[in-house]
Amino acid sequence: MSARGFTLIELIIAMALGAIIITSAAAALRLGSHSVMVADRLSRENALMRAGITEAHREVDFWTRYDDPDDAQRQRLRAVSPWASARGLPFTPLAANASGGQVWPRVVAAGEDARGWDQGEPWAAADPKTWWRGNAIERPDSDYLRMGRYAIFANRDASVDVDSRTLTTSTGETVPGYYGQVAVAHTWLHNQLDGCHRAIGFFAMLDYMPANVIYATYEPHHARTNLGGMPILWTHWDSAFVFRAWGRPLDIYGHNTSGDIHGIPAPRPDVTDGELWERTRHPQVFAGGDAHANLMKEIGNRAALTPLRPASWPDVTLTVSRHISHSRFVTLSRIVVTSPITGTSANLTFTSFGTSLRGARQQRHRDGGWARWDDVPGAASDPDLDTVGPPRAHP
Amino acid sequence: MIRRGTVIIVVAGIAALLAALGIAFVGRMRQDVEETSEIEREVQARIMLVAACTYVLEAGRIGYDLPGTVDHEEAFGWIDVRDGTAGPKLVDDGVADDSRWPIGAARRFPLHVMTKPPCAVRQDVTYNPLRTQWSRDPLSPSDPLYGRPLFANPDPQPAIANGWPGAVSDLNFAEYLRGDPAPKGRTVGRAWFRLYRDEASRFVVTCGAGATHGWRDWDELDAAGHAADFQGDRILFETLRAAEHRRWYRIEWSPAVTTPIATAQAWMHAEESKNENYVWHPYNASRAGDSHGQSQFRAPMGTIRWVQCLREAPTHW
Repeated sequence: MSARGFTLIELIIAMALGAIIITSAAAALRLGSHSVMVADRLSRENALMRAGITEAHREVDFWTRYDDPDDAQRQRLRAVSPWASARGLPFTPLAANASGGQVWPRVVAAGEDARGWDQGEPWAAADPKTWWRGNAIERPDSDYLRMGRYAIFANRDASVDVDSRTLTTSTGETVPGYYGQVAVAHTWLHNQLDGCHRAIGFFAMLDYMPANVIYATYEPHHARTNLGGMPILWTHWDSAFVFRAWGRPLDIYGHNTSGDIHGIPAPRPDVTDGELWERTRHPQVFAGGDAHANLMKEIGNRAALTPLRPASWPDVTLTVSRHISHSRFVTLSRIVVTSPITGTSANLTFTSFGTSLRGARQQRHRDGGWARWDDVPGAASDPDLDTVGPPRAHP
Repeated sequence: MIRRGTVIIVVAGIAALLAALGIAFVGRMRQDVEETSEIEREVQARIMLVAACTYVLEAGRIGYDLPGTVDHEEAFGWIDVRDGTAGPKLVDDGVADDSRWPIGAARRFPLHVMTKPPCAVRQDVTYNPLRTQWSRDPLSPSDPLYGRPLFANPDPQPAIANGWPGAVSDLNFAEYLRGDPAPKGRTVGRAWFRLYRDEASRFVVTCGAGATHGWRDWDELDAAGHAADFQGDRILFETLRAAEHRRWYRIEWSPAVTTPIATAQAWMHAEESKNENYVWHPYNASRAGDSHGQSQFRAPMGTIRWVQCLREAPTHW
């Protein structure tokens, strides 16, 4: 039993070595835990970015930030107005009651006499009622109607007492204003254009009409039309539909909106109901300043994805905006993840292809909730926001 | 004696903690990978929606070339633009003919990347670079060809050798036309779309990101005699189907092409006067400003009029 103890030197060395080993291990643990914490934070940021992408794609397909079928408080774009010229917003049901009747009443008839929106109408190119007839270079100041009176061929009204001011040309010739009573042969297309923009606004009209339609109508001459009876709405550079900043008529360019931009107004909390009406009824482009930035700010549907997050979690916002520019419908999503710890932010911006406005309206039940669609022949699907009268039976 | 193992116990404990952290880290990374794969499938399925719409646009017009005829026959849309009856059909006879794709029929489109598609061209960016002293093939500033934009080489050039820059021959032309349709390995079984012709110009699109090749279910593929594609293993198919991402959309084809740009340009340049006048720039006139060119002639095959994502699968798809 030579149970000898440690010498002091041995003890000191052993303690020092033990301390070094434990300190090293503790440092490794601290470093490891810090690394894991950093990795965890980055992973969480990435996960939130992925969640943003998933949410953006869901929004692209279902438009619930613009209109939530499950929440009546989030259906501000379904309002109706007392004005005949602007009855609804982009998600207003066509069958809703507005001043003087439905937002877009339907008359079931054959050919040119049909009125309102027919969900089964194929707009066949061979169907003459879909052909636009008129003076394609009509101008707000069609001073002498030198190209003729096209309002007698196609018009919003089936019977028109064609009359306008009698004018004298610079060479002294008299241009009579009165033409006479005319039974107009082609009224269907002009009523589609007129009815659509009145019912659900200009962006909706761009979405609903075929891509090559000419945006112009004729009606009886009055103070807000040119001499030919074409509303200055369609032609005048400072009218509701025409792009103001460039001073160019937009009416007859089809979807060639060039630099002009129409967007769906964002029903954000900071946007008033009045602004929703204004932005539905005007191209959202500003003369001067950073026009595009202003536009995106105005139509950007921005909301936080994690409003109830812990303080240490990143802030994630998703902004979705929908507009038409340069002949293209654009659904733009922007995800911003901001770290509360480092203050850095990561942005991801992308465009997507998905449900159009008409598709979104067809997703929604006319009486609330979601509409069920099925393709069983003979069966009727649920009525949706475009249904006026009984739902259409599947052919 | 009791204190003899203190250090090893403490170190072992710390090592165990480190191991636990490492395992948690690896687990988190694995979860990230799985979630990223889900995003990838979602995006892949959405790409299939674009592919399906593109197919609908093209199939309304082309793909009906009759063998043995001089002409390259084309159809005139899903609803014929000449007589308004159901197509696609070649003859303007006023009679509906949906025989090339009957209304109420569905077809599958499993997609992959070909090794070399038909009529492939090389992916070179620049066939005729301006040559300077900094070029890969440098040229002295004193050289008369220095900095000259010369069209010395054809642009583009076929991916199958045709003899250029030596004597060009058509010996490989058949190979050029055929390409190499063998699928690239890693692109098989990743995505597909499926179309059901619901009405004359309306379709149900099913977009899939997964390996079922667009079969709706086992019974369908078994009845079609394709069980061997999945080794006759129903469980394998069901497993693939469960991991698959599927979405359903409705779309409508329209014959309307966007932006008759030449006409639009004519009107656009006519707006200087607020009265009517005749200013007419011919299509593609370089002097006419900023918007002329082939890239501005959008969607010559028609357009997709609307798209509607379905919340659940319809009965027929």
